[in-house]
Amino acid sequence: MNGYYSSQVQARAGLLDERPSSRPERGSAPERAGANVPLDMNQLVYRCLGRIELAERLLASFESRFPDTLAQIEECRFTEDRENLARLVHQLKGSAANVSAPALHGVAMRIEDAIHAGDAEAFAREINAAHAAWAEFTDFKQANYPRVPG
Amino acid sequence: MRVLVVEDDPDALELLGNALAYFGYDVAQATNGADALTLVRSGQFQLVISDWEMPYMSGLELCREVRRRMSACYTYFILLTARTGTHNRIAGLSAGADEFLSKPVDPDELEVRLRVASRILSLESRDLVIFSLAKLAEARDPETGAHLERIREYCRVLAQHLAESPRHRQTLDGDFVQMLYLTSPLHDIGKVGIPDNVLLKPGRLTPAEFEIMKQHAVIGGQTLKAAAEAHPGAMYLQIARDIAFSHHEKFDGTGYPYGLRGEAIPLCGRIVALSDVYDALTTARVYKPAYSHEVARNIILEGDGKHFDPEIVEAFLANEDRFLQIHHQLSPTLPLTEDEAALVCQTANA
Repeated sequence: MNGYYSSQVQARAGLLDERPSSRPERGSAPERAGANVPLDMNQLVYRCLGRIELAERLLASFESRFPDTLAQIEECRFTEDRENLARLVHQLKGSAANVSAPALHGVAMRIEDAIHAGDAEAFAREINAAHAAWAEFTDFKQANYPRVPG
Repeated sequence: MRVLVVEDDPDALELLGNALAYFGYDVAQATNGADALTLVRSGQFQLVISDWEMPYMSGLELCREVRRRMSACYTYFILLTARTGTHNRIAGLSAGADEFLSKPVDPDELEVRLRVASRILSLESRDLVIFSLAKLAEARDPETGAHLERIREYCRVLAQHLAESPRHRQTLDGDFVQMLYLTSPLHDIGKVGIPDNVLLKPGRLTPAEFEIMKQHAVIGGQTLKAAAEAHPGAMYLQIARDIAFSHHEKFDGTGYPYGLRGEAIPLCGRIVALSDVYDALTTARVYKPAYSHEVARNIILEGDGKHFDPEIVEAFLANEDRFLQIHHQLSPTLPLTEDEAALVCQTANA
């Protein structure tokens, strides 16, 4: 039917107005970086639809929140506040994914798994891994994107 | 379309809001389920995109609440989730979710999911709009309600025949036939704008009155054009608009309102034109009795290539038995025989 209709539309100048023009083309999805990469900037910019300032703002927000969230997770584990622990780890995982930080996202997933499994040893190990991954993230960002505020 | 996004993470909310605005949606945001429910109750949102995991009220609970409430129209609900696995999908669908969107949100995936949502929502609104407008047209039409029933049946017969012809087989399909069937009853919707003293006048119209009556094509066309512009994806509104504008155009360019000629007249308008005239001829009106099928057939043949598209006349001739069948099934009175009609014509001319 669309073939029929488009030819009809062309044939009837005067009855119809032009359809609104489409917005500018956006870039196609870039390849995802590996799971150990601290920051996949191409993915983030793609998901921000090319808005660099939005990507920068999201990174700045992430960097201001991550250490605090990680500290709260450790505290919740200490006080055995299971409900908040699950919520905070989920939040950590989501925010790492949101800024396309694969390595931090992976660690957050493993922390979540350790909580579900009730594995205190794995939890402690992954918390240490999270601190290390965080240091790598900030180093990587400083080395590769020094102008992005953090 | 207005979209409500529910997400407790402010960064994820901003990212999603940015993408939705980029795709042309009007976005409202809520950071928890309770606020979202209040907004949904305002009746302004047909599309909700909600995170699954949120404090106090989860996306799943929000979805259940949305489904529980009475609403004038359907709310399409998309759950945002990083959860995988069949049991999670089943839980989401059981709560009433229509679709899932993986986190973190990929703009390409978001765009196609929204397209699906729009398509489904437009189906609901399409039938409601057509039904309401057709009832309105019926209420203002001096002919019986069965006129609309017959018109759409005739249109379907003609469109089906054309869709099977070698010329149109590649371009006309069942969707077109169905769309024409649904929208053809709206051909005279513009009559709502014609004053009673003209529309309901018993007897023939004066030339001045006829000029007023002719305006119904423009009134109907403009009304549906405005609706089609507001919903560019709604094909049925575009077809309804074309029918309203063009069902009084004639193949030789002597019709109204624009004097379009030949295939410049939309095909749907050419189909409705013949169906409408056949029905006007074979049913009684305040100014004329019902003519027999034979009389109507002769008048249509006289108009072949002048009033009517020869291709549509050919489709009519190939389906005369179906026209007669529809006429007999949906007409309250029997038409005059040819002799009776001739007598009526002689009397009128005298």
